[in-house]
Amino acid sequence: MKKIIIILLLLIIFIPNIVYAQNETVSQESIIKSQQETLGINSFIKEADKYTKDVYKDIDIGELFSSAISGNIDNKSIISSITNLVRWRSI
Amino acid sequence: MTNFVQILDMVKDSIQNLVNFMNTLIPIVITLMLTTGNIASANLMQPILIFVITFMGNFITGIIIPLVLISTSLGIISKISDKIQIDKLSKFFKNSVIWVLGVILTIFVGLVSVEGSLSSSVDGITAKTAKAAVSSFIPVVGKILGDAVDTVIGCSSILKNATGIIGIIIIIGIVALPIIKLTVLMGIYYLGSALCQPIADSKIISLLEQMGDTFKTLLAILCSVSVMFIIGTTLVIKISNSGMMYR
Repeated sequence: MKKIIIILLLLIIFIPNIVYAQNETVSQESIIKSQQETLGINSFIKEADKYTKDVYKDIDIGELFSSAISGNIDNKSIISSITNLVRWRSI
Repeated sequence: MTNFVQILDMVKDSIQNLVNFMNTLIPIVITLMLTTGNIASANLMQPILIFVITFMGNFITGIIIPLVLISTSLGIISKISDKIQIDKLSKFFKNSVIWVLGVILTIFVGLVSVEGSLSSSVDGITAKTAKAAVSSFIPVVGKILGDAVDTVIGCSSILKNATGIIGIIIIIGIVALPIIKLTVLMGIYYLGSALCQPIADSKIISLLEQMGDTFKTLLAILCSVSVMFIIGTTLVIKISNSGMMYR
């Protein structure tokens, strides 16, 4: 019995495992997209939209998120939408 | 006084909104932390953050804001009446509110930063060891696997940082309007008391000042809660990023 197991183990070790590298390269964007879907970030963004209706009327949180991924957040529009509150809101 | 009740409701609502939003943000950020390999940090952070945030929300709406209300009414009574003087009690309540808020803020930031800095190095070294083991022990594809894991962790990190930034922007969005309103109201009451001083009775002036002080306390409550949540979110992101440095 022992011999059979040893022979099997040796066979498993010495049978060549051939691994083929695929030509397709997975891009960073596709990884980010798939993770975004699996982790439920889209539903989080929808949920987050509810809280900022009053302040950021002209800003889409989804767009803001995609700009944050690329590292290009438009600070000007955020600041201007907050400062507009001082101008137009009556207390 | 109708105005005052409305403002109190607004502060309560915005704190409740902040707590609800943080309760949706923290699970997402913690899950993203797990995907970047910060297992120990995620396990330590989640209970503290969720507990402190919920506790803060309930504590402020249930205890602190009623205390502010009591302090204001005591102050108004002592300003209007010559016989009843309970000014000191009102001041005591107001000061205790500010002290309690300061203590909670310090404890929260201290706990999160100390536990985070401890666990992030553990996570960083664990991830580095795992990657080294995969790269060297698995023949042929070990290095490719290690690199693939690195890419996925990097992408998760980008997502985590973006989610954190969005979280902070939304926190600012939730509190921006109430903070602006409170600041303007506080300014108006103080200005009113200053303008009335030459023409009105001293009781009315001190009453207006008392109302201005109350708005200042409410502003302090809202600012400290929002700053605490912003610091909490930023620290969580920073802690999980510092774990990545070890790779």
